[in-house]
Amino acid sequence: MATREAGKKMIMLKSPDGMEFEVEEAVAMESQTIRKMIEDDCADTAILIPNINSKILSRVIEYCNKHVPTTGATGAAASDTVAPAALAEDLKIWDAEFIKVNRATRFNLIQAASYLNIKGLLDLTSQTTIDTISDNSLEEIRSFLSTKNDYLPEEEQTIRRENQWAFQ
Amino acid sequence: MRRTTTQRRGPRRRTDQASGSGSGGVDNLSALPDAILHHIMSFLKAWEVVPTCVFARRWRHLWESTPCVDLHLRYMSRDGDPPQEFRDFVHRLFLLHYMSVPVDTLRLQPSDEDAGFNKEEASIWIRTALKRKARVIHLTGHHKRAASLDGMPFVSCHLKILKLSYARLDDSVL
Repeated sequence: MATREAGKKMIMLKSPDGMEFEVEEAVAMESQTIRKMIEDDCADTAILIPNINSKILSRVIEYCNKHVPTTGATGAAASDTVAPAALAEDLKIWDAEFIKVNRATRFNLIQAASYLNIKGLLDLTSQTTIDTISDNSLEEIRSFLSTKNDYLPEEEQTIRRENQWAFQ
Repeated sequence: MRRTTTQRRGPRRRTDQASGSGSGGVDNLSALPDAILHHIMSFLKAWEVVPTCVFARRWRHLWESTPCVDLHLRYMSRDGDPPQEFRDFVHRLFLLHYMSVPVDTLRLQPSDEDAGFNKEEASIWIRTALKRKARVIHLTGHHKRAASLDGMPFVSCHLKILKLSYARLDDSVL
């Protein structure tokens, strides 16, 4: 990541595979988890982000960069000239492109969004997962979720019978 | 068929582990913690959530502790059809939902005649959610027929967000 202009506080984020990402503090604070660390003065030099590899972390930073409120020196021009509704629409289109990723990446993004507590990203990834599986048959959903059907056939029948009220 | 899929993903998982990402290599939704799965399920209607119990053992009881009960019927939506016996469905849902788990969010369309339940039943479900420490209640009436919430008791020390659309209140609320 390129260093931004002087005057902005930068935070170093480290992935467990040894990559370092220098990001503006405001961008990093899109993550409530990191915000808490910064506010508690636990982020002097670099923050190690466990469990999130560099590939996923860079995507998460990309998301936060796009979603950070544009009130700073760099963002002022954009928010002055573009109406909020247009900005929101632009973000929606950007989100739709951003989330065009394979299943494994999306699951990893869900995990990362949950750990880093980034509500917008968690909502985006969750909604996309639901959109992808709706209108599919049970077998297709199981396959999509990589969920092995570990019920015995008679067991599945029992569960369907017990919950018959929900299948009408 | 499923086994083939797993094999195809094998190398990716190993690569991720080799690079020290730990659980960063999860490509199986079922392996995610309950809290995340519950969040994903919060994007489903209540009648879409319960049938997830047949996915696999991991999912069997998940719906019983889901913190979001979405009974909001959208007109012209692509949501799955709500159950025929809607009030029966909701009663069972609340009965089988773990008592100890708070219902964080209730989304409801009160007094929807098409859905086959009335204002009194909606009132009971709202009171049930409040007793289960609901933090968010979102009620939407119809734009041509505002939901009447006369005398609805919204008293709760847990309720943080009460979102009302197309709803009519009188001064006996609260």
